[in-house]
Amino acid sequence: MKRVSGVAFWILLGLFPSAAQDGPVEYQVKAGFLYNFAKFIEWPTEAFPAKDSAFTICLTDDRFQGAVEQAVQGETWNGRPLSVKQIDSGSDVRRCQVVYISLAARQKTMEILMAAANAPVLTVGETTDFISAGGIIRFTQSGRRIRFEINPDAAERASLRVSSRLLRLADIVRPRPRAGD
Amino acid sequence: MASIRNLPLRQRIVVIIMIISAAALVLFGGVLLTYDFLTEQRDLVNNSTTLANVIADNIAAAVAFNDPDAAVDTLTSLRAEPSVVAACVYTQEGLFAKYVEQGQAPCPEKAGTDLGVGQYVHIESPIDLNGRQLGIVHLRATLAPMYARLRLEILAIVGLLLCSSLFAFVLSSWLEQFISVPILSLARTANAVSQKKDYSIRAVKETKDELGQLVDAFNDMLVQIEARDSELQQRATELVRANRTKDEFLATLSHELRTPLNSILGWSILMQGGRLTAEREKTALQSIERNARLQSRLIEDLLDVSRIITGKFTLDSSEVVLRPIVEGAIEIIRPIAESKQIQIQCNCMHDPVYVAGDAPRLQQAIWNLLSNAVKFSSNGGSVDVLLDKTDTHARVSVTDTGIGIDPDFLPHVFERFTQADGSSTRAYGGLGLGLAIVRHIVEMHGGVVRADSKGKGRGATFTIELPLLERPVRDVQVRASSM
Repeated sequence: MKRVSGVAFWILLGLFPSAAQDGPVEYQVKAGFLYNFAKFIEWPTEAFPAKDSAFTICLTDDRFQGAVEQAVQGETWNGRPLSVKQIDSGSDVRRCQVVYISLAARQKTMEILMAAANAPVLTVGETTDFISAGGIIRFTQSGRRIRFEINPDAAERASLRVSSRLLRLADIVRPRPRAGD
Repeated sequence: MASIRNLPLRQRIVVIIMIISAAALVLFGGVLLTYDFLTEQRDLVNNSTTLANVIADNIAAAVAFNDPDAAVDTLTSLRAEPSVVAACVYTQEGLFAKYVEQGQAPCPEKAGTDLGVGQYVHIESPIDLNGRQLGIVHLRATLAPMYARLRLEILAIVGLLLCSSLFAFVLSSWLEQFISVPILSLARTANAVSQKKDYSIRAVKETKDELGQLVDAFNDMLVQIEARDSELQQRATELVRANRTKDEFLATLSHELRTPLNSILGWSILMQGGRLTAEREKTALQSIERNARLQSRLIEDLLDVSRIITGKFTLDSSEVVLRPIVEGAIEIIRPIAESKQIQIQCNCMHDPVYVAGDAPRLQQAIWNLLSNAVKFSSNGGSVDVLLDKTDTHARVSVTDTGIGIDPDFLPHVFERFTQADGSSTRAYGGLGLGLAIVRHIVEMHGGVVRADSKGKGRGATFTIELPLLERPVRDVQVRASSM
């Protein structure tokens, strides 16, 4: 089995030759992940203002806009159309189902997380303290591979049900609640 | 098959039964194995398909997030399934994750190329996520355990075949007697009959089936053969006797023809010598005439017998009054009788007795009886002739005081060429044809002739009975005209 996983690893390296270094490739992978998270997570119906409301992925970094739009092109989410938006502040965050706070926008992290607290919004970030700050999913780098951490408690607080299949792939992180939380 | 045909019956039955039981078992085994094979294969395909679907479902997330390790973890769960020896997951880019049991061929690099030989079943299931195909799961399941089981089953069936063959052999060796014993017994009987030529042997009927019928038919045939055989033997005996009779007759005939000729020749030579007295010449001429008549009579008899045999002996029938015929015959025989001092008396009824018949032939018959009576009577004897009638028949009987007839010989007196024995022929002469001619003439007239004798030396009576002519037409006319 070790040999097998080793082979798989090298094959993966072949598929993603410079996942960590090359910016655009990293965007593509992360953009694909953002959409794939949505497939393994259930949102409550009250997350959407109307029956035919779009499933909205919100970005804080316009460099991702193209990659995400490409990833979701022609796709739907449970019959809903997909839309990709840019947000500048936490005020718009409750209209999003997924919000991605990239490294470039890390100074807005706290504001957005506060705005999305207890709302059915999947928060995805990259900063090391993103989970302990109340975020749900954090991208990590393992060698050349992009992996992710999930805080199932945070997801539960946001009324999001995460599939066990997704949890199995993720590193589960449960930060001790800080005083005052 | 030809060799089976040449086996003895008992072995053939045993062999046939064994072949049938073996064939049944082989058929049964074949059906069982085929059914097992198909069922197992179908089950394997079904199970593997279900597994592939479950794996495809479980592995979708790992594929979506490019996590081959997680995919391998999922695939490794297949270790619990011994029939699945390899599982390969392919994405658009190629082989994504794999699980291969030790000693099995590795997953090929491209999807759809793992089509190993017969031992394996290949199942593919698409990996779908929200209606989008991410890749494909390829399961390679081995049929080896099934083949192993089938081999075991074949072994078991072969073993069963041997056991059942032995069982069938023992059982059929015992049961075959129900068929073979009656047949063999019949065959033995037939053999015995044909070897000993003894048609009185009978086969024993042991069953009531077709074999029993065969035994019955066989016995019936034996009965017929036996009857025919004894009839043939009787005929052969008769033929031998008839042949001997004919030989004897031939000897008698030559003797009888030669005797008068000797006399005629002797007297003729003496007369030509011219030294006989006139009285002696008269005696000679009488002797020559008598002997010539005798020979003529013999030849006439022979011709009659010949006619009788060839069916040319015919009657010229008309209305006949019997009395003149009887008296005429007596007159013809009287000179011979008188030469032996034999008296002939006619006790003839005066009423006319009419019969329909051929007068000369009837006279010949009566003369024959008289001639016999005179011939077999010693000198000084007497012959009584009786003519009367019953309600239906006219009766003529001739009784002599001669040598009589042995009761054993009585039934044969009317047969051709027959006299009581050879010596009597010598003593009394004649061909033994007379009575046969008599019987033929009488029977042609619709009458009967019979012989009675109280035994040897006590005389004999021959009786002719002829049907009466009830109302002779001419007689009525004669009376009418005389009135």
